[in-house]
Amino acid sequence: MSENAIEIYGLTKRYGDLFAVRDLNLKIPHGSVYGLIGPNGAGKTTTLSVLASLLEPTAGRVLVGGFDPSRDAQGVRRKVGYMPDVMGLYENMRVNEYLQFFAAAYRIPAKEWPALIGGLLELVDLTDKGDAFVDGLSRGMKQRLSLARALAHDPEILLLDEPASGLDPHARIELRGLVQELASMGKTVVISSHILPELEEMCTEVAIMEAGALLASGPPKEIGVGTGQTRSVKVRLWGGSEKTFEVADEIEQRDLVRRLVVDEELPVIEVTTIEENLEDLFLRVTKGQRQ
Amino acid sequence: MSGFRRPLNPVLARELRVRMRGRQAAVVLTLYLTILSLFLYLTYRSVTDIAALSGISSVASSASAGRNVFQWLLVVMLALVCFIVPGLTGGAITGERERQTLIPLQVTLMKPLSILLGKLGASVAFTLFLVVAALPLIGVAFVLGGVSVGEVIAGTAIVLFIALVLAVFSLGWSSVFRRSQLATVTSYAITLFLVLGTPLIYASQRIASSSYQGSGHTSKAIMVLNPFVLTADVAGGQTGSSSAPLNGLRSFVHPNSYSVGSSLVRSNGTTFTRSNPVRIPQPYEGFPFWVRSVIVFLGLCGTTLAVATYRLRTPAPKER
Repeated sequence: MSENAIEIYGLTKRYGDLFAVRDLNLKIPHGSVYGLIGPNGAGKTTTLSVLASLLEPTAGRVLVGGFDPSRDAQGVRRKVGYMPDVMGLYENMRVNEYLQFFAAAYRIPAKEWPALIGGLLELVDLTDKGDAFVDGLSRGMKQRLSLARALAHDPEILLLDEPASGLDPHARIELRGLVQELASMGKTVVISSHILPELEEMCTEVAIMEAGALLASGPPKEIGVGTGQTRSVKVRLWGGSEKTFEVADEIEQRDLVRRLVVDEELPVIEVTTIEENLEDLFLRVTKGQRQ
Repeated sequence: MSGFRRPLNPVLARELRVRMRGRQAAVVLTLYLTILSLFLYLTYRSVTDIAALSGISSVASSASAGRNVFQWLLVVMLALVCFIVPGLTGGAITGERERQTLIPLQVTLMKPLSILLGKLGASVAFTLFLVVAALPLIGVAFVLGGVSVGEVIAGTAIVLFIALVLAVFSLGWSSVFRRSQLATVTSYAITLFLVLGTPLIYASQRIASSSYQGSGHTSKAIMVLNPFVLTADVAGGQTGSSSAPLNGLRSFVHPNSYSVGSSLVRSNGTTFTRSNPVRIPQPYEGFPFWVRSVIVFLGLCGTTLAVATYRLRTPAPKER
């Protein structure tokens, strides 16, 4: 078995003259929580749709759980749970019925349903809502029910397209906890989102996309180095004044401090590396590409 | 935990459960039975009044009333099916798209044909429910006489068959379009064409033919697409009152015969009775009219289902 849950080689999706995704190459390791970051139109949803065996790529090859979605969509669907960016729930069904319906659609034997549905409802914290109608649930509950639906066949890989979209802060925290729990169960989670600080906390790796192209990818802490951009160092001097410098790496940072203290004899009392968050990184990387 | 157990198609199980839970099913059933009952009453009154005025014997009058009631019920049932089925099925797939529930369904292990058959099954099952609900009314015609069990079975079966055909056509449009409104309107337009468009085309062909050639021979091929003519050919019977609606349509398919009272009169004047059945001459060589009609409809249904399956297949070149 490959060490990667998902492998994407030269994925291109074109609609006429418009490139939704252009020559995308990615490898997503098993058990990782992988964040796809990018503005609207970056190609995140298109990429997830190809991985979920909904869209045919124009060019390139994709392997999901070892299966090519273009050749063996059923193989991919056994391995993948997909939660689209819209909830798409049957509002006139009860929560239990809704999950039974998807259990049947995934050909899970009926005798396994009670335990399966009980487990899913417990996981998404909807145990007491089993007999409630879907249209009576809050948005956060509906989102969790969508997640339970995607988990009905116990997939190895989860594709979550903008799962936090439209949720209040409390529901977002719950969702983050859920994703972390799924990751601890050994599932590979690919998650696209605009809410970057949350992705930063959840993701073991991220890929930044814009206009269908991959700008950077890797673990959040390393990705800035990989892009060849600088980082910020804040130097506080005696008397309260502060200066900020841009450096490329740690060596350059040491050289800077030596120059300030030894060569320029400045009264340095504190040197702080400004940790760049994912949002800063995203802005910096996408700005760099735009220039 | 029941209702979705295999081998019942999950989409069919869901549709039946949700459809019967809502108020819509009860409203449709009530209206449907009210209209049928009204027609039953009016037909019975009209036939018995005419019989009383003409001095026809009570047995003959009862048989004639039975046949009239049966055929009118069948015609009204068929008209209601033509009205109800496109409305029920036109939004089957577009509705899933509009509610954004199609994608979660498409990423399950259900194949496009399975999804379509589930939707189709739900529509036909509801029509079956309507037909079964109307059986007590048809039973009235049966009690009056003049109708055989075979005719009742054939009539009911053909109404269900036409419901299936209309459901497949509507499902096809539902898979082609993105909006329910457009799919439903197109489904009704197609149904209207089958019911009213086909005789109009036939009539215009006939007028054109008699204008240019002087003779009146016109192909009736277009009429194999007419649900009422098909029903008349299957369930019209060979005897009965000339005022029974299906008899008139049947004589269109079989012009060499027409009916008066409870006996059949050939165009050469020879009279046949029920006890002396006669093979009706067919206007075409080969298969009977209704067989041709059924074959044509099955062919169209197969093509429509193939197109609909293609439209629902994933992965697709673009989102549909």
